[in-house]
Amino acid sequence: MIEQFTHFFSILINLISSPTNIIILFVASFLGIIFGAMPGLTATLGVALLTALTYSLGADTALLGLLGMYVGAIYGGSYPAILINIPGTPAAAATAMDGYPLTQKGLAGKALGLTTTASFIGTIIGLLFLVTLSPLIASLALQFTSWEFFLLALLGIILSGSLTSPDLVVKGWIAGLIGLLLATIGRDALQFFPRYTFDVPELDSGLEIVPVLIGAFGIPQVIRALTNTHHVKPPIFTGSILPELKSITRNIKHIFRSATIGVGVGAVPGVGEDIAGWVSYSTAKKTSSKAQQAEFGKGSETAIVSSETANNACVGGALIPLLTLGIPGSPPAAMLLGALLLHGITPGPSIEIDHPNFLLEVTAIMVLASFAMWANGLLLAKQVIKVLQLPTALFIPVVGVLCILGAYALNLNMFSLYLMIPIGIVAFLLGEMKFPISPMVIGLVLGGMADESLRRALLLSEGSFMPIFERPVALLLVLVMTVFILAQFSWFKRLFSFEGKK
Amino acid sequence: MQNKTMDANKGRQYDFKFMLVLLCVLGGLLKITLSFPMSGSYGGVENQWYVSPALFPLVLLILLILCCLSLLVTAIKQGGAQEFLSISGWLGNKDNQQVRERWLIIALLIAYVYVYIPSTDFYLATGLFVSTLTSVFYLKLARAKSVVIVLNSMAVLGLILIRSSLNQDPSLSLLDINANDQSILWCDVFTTCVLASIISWQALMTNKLNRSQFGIQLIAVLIVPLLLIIAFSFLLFVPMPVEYGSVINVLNWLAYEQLGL
Amino acid sequence: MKNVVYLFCLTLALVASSSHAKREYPTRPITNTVVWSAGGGTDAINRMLMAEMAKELDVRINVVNKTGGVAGSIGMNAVLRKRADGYNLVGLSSSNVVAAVNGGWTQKFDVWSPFIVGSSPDVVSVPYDSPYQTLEDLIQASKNKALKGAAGGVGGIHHIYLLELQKASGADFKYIPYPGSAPSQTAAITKEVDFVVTSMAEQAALLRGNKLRPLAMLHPDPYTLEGVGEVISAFDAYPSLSERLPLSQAIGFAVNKKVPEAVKTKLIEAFNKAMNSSKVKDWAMKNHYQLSGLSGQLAEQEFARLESIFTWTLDDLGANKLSPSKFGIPKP
Repeated sequence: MIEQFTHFFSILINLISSPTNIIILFVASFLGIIFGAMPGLTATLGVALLTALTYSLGADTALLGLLGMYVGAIYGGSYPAILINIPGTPAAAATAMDGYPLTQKGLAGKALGLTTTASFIGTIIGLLFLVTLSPLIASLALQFTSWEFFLLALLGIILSGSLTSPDLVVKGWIAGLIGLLLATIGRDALQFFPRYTFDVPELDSGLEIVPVLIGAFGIPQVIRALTNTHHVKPPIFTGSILPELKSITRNIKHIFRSATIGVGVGAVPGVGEDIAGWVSYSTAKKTSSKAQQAEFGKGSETAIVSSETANNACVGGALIPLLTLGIPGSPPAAMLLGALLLHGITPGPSIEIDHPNFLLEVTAIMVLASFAMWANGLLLAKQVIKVLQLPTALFIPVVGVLCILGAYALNLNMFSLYLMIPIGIVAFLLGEMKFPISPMVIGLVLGGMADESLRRALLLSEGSFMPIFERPVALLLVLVMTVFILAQFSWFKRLFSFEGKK
Repeated sequence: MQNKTMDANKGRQYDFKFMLVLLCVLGGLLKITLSFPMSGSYGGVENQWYVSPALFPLVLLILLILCCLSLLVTAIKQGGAQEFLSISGWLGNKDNQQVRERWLIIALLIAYVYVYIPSTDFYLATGLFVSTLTSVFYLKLARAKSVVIVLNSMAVLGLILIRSSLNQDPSLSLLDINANDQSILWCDVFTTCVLASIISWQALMTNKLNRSQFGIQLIAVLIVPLLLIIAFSFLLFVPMPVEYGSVINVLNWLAYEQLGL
Repeated sequence: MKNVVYLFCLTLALVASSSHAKREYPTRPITNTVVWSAGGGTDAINRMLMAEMAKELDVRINVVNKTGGVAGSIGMNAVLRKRADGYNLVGLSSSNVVAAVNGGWTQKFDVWSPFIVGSSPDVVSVPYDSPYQTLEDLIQASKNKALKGAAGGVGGIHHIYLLELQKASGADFKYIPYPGSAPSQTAAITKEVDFVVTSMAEQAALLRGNKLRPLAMLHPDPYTLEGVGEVISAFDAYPSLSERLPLSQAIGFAVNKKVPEAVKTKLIEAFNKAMNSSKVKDWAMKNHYQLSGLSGQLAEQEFARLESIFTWTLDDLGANKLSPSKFGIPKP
């Protein structure tokens, strides 16, 4: 263990002793934040771009750039989410729910500072898991068969039931179900049967998350910001960006829980940062006191800390199956796999044979990347807030153009735009009718997984539901779900508080 | 308090209408879903009820219909069925300025994405889009709305006319990206004229007081899109939608032939 | 004011029309649109090869991803509509040949002039502690109780390999579809399925890390994997496999067939040089790819063969929308 530590530090020192490395690290991290902050440009695209640029560099230096980019981009998505209520990446969608209300109260700086530090702590905790528990987590991730995937998706859907409408509860359910239904568009994964494609080849591969996300959040925001009759400018923020220690310690419980959720969700192959943010947000809400719960959606500190810690902790989580099994845990991790292959490194169980200490090296690089993100973040946050001082009527049209260009740049597909506009208009009208939009997006993210896994699981078990009760992880998921559902009923809560008093 | 119940009542009326529309759509989807293969081998996978592609959508549709009915009942109980036939109940009060402005933005977004971007150079399309918005919301010029509506309708009609008359390949629709050199050139010239008329109209209308506003606005209309396009096409290597548009051609020529990047 | 604007338009138009370079190809960056997602095999190979070809052509080659549609039809459609000037390449593999019969587009594959970089042979593997020691064990066992097998998505190359194995050996397999090779392999590790068929390139790390155990290559030659040993060929025990196999994954790129011959020659030259560079050779060996290097007419013939086998196999499965005969694709 001690030997590992000394080795770790020697790698660390080796890396930072070269000034080129430091420059690359900071530039990549900075670019990553910009990427994350632009609606539509995602971590995946950033890593892909940097892969080409770092092709001629050594593997270490390239990895420094790539991971700097990845961590930065996941964090950067929180900027537009907090400042203009348009999440820059799907991972930051949950952050917008409470970040934007804080901005309206004139606390944008505080919110940015908090998320910066929370992201930093989240990444570091994710790393701790990566170094210490990666074999254990990897073997746990291998417990995930089709049944567990289905139950995980179902749990996510049920959790999102807590993000209900300010008006009627049933409106939240309708929005969520519409999202799930949207996820079934396209070729079904099991039989390749085209569902609701209406013979449009572009619909065959289903709806892309990012154009839908930008459509659902960005376009209504553009329409509302321009036509708001009473222009209330958020008060100028004067306090310090660096959060007080108190607000961190106050939320320490949530930070640790969210980080664990982030690592767990990240480690499950194919499930990424976007889901981590939502799951953590809903869990934080469920486990908060009544008074705190009322704050959710109106600018709760706990809420933004929870979602941002989780989505950054997810990075470490996603690296676990990538490095130990060669299975990417999230879409950007898949791109990272491609980049590593390009440099002749094949992650997977054989990595310790081919490249001894590679795990330590990645950890060292991640530590540097998260420091770079933190430093860049604190420097940038102060400048970024100034955006709010620009005249809305001048700034918002440019944001609209950015949303459109970003959604196009993701896969260079005009059809994404043709889809994004109607979705944006529908989302705007739904919002006017007091339907919440977030459950729709979560439904779209989780629907495909729920559908495909359930049917595959039934195909494997030949129509029997028994395997749920024979598999430990599945049983655990069912239990958690039951508790969440029962907690909705008051008699169950009474039962609990009664026992608590005894 | 009176106002609040009025609002709630209005909300229920919208709910009622939306639920009726949604139920119609769901009914249509249900009909499609029932035509999915329920059994029999498809795609090399043997089919049972539990493998059918219809399983998940059917469950969702049934749940969704139940939820809709429950909301519909709530809405009717609270007076949502009133004013079912009035137009303002569907589109919002047309005398309300905010409502009209919102429909204007929606129409402009549709024109921008479905007509301008696929037809003409991205820079020109964006300039037109941004300048329209800034004339109405930033400069707040007199009669701005009528002027921009006329100019944008002209642009939409003109571009559709140019594209459909110069289209040589009948399999291409207007929604496909313009790839015909002649057509792109004429679309670009035409859009430039419309853009120029908007800007010159803005220049004529602004008085001394908002001269500086006009200048700042020009940055957003002319400079910012240019910077965006340079960043996207030369740093991120994202080709613009209309790849051979005039402005991007000039930029390419400058960057690669003159500067030799 | 108006006059100035018109004058500006006119100069703009003139410059625009005169700006198409008359210098020798290539003068500006080339864009390679990969129709599969970033991080996959086709993407990785294209990125690597383009970096090498860029050195030969002395321009930058940008690799972008444009996924979606039916078997990459969106990306292929978009590139085909661009000017046939050699500045737009499309990164693809043999899996794209089914786009037409699935209703993605209306073209036969011969609109492209392909360049084939290489392919990785397919291998049948079981979980490391599986009771089946040899391919014969597996096939015998399947005759008593249908064994579950994973092989990527429906109608993909690995699915076809699985079907061919089933046909040649008379085994009874139950095919479980997964969205790709990686999830199929994971399903084998978690023992959700009894065996998996994917390529050596995709499996090597799992085989060497003792997560999976190879039974046989679905390739005429045995394969020696460092740290694992020699993997025998299934063709010895089941000779009828050689009727249609091996099929090449044919990962590579293509250019519109209508590009001028001079441009094609230039591309072929650069391609050949890149394929012979030590960097590409090293990379292929390390990543378990067998290089092909076909271009021009030979590559076109290879793709025509693959198109015929893939589309007619789909037709047998009933998983296609349109009959291959509608496009004039001959039966294999």
